[in-house]
Amino acid sequence: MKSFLCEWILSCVLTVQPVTPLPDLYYGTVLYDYYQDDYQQALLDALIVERRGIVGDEPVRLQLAKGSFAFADGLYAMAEQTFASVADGELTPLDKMRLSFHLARENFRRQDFDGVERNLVNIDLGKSWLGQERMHPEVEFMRAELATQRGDYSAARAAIERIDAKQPYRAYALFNLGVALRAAGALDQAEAVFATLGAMDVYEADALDLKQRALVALSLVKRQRTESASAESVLGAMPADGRYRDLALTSYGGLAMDNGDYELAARIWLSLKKDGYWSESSATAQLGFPMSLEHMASRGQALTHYRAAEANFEGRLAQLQTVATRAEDPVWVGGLLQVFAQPDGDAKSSGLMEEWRRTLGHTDWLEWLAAEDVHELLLQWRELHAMADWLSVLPEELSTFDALATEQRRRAAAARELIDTRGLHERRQQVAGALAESHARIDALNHATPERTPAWMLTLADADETKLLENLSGKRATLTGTPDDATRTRLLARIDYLEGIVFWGLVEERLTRLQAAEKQTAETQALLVEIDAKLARVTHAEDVIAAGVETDFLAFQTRADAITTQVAVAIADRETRLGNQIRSGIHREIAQVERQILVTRIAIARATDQLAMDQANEADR
Amino acid sequence: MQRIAFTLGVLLVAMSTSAFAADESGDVTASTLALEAAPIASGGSDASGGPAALGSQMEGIKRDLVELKRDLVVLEEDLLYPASSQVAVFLSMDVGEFFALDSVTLKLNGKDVTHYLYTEKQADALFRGGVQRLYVGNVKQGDNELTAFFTGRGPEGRDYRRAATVAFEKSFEPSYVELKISDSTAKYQPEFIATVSP
Repeated sequence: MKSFLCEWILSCVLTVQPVTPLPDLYYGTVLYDYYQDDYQQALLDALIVERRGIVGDEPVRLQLAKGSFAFADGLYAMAEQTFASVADGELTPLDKMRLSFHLARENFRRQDFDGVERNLVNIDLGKSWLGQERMHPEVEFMRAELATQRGDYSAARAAIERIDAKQPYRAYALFNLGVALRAAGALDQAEAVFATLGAMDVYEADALDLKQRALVALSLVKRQRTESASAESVLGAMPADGRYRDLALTSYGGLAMDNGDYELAARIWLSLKKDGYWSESSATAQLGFPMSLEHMASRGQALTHYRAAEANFEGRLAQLQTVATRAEDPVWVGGLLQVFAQPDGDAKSSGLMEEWRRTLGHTDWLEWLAAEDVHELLLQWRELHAMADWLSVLPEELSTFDALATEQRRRAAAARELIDTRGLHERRQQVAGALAESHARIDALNHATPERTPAWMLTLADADETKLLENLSGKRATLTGTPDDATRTRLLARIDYLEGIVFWGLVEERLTRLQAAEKQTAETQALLVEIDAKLARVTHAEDVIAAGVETDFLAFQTRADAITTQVAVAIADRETRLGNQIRSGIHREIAQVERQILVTRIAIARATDQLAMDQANEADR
Repeated sequence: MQRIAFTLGVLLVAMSTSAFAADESGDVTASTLALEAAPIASGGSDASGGPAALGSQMEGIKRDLVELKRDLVVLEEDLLYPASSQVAVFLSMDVGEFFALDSVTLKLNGKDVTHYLYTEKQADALFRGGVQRLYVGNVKQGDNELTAFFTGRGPEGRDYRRAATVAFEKSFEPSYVELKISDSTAKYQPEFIATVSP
């Protein structure tokens, strides 16, 4: 009926199943974070499981997972120590492969290719039931990179073929192989590799980026092989957006000029010139456009555009010099960095970005900060700020815990007082005594056969019956001294009769009374358990909370303070370095613009001379 | 005149070529990309102020911080959920072909204690063998009852809502409830199972 009702209402299921061991559940929670790519949380959970000692019978799996998460979170030393702590004898063959995989990754990070090779040979995932070899994309990626590094390009190609097409690793490995082949002078093969990558379907932003780079590289190889038309078709087919759009267009313009197609080149330079931002490509276009015009015999217009370019370069130089002066102020640099303190796409971040665009008038400063070493500094700076934010709220959190612990201690003390003032210990003793008596009484009743003696009757009698029996017993004693035999005999018979009524009543109710006594005993037992639980709770609270927590709070605050100091020092260091990088970026660009101004002025002089000569020739005619 | 034109040409080519810097310096780019793919940063050793030293400094700080966080979480749980009243509810999935999880609502002794909506990534993490610690809280000692309501899509994409109830007696030790979604291949239906330990 219950089952039917459950089904009818919501279908509840009450199934008795084997319980999953607790260590397996906790290991599962670690995997839950890992499968969501939250390595930091996975590492934290693994450390908590380890600290609580919930590792079960397979401590190795948790160690390997911990090392792997530490590695993914950038804690390489911790990962290395964790892997080193795993005793070889404890490893199953699968664990050994897992360990080899992690060590191969660590060696790869260090670019220790001998180490990579040593570990990769231990990895063999076997075959599926269909007889197909099982592959791991990262393993195959490392195999491809190792082969590329060793110059074994066919092995690299074979490893790349084993990487699933949807994996971004495939794009990385192909690009690196293409670059290596080009450096080795194998232009045919490099071209084929870049063409493969350029034609690949890609599913991630990084892979799309690589695909575009591969197309630019492909056009370069084709130009190197003097296949200009083919290079042009590659560049012409590139999408008109993406990170490498300007680079591709510049290359396209250069190629058009190489081919003598100045009209096409002029169109490309014009398109780049129209962009509202300043970049190396748009600067090149400023010069490339009038140069194309010159070749199209529009010398007057070329001169006009050279002069416009000169004015643009001078304006840009003045702007950069102003920025350079302001960049000496650390507060200004700090304000610029605030753009990166916010999460990507955050409204505040976008607002700050707009503000700096208005101030700087261009976006090149983003390029300076996107350079790899600067980018790494920025990431660290941002991560350090996140740590500082977390640490800044910690004292408040600790104080909340402290208040909570204080309250728990107060309750524990109150309970302790309760024990003392209300005499819980004494009460326990009384109840335990009563319980012992009850047990003894029941035991006696169960074993003794009914007999008409005061001892037997009083054991079963209730209060009224006890009073009656005692009264009758007293009266019998009084009658012993009565001289009148007849009266004594008559009264003793009467007492005996009354006692008999009580006795037979007790015999009749013996079973019921025994059951009642057992029930009473059970209740006394429950009362005793409750008192014991209360005592245990108070003792636990006293022992664990009151004694342990206070010391921990002090230790916590001390540790947090030490980390806060380290974080502050590291932030100051990163800000100094980033300031230097920004200033150096500005000065690099100033030097570049100065070079561009010089080239433009030379071009102006030459074009002016040429124009004057043309006019003189015209006049001569 | 010819010399000026030559100079201009050389400079222009130089500028144009510099636009290919990312391509021309392909070897450097390649190693960088290779490292990104790992995904890891470059190693190397430098004693003072180089990328490796900065990375090492970051690692030291991060390690101290993660260990502090670990101890704080342990402390927090000990404080907020003492063993004598703690109950933790875990959710796992065994296969899960017949049920696509959308949400879970937990009722403890008749009161709603948590409601969780799953993203695709979270549901996938469960499908792959992850276990979610869905709820941790306090209950009275003695008899308690927990009901979990699962909503999602069942076989053939139909809306599905089921419940699993489990009664448990709380002792001085922490109580653990595991909610498991599994497949009944015999019925071609999902099953919702609740188990308690100890």
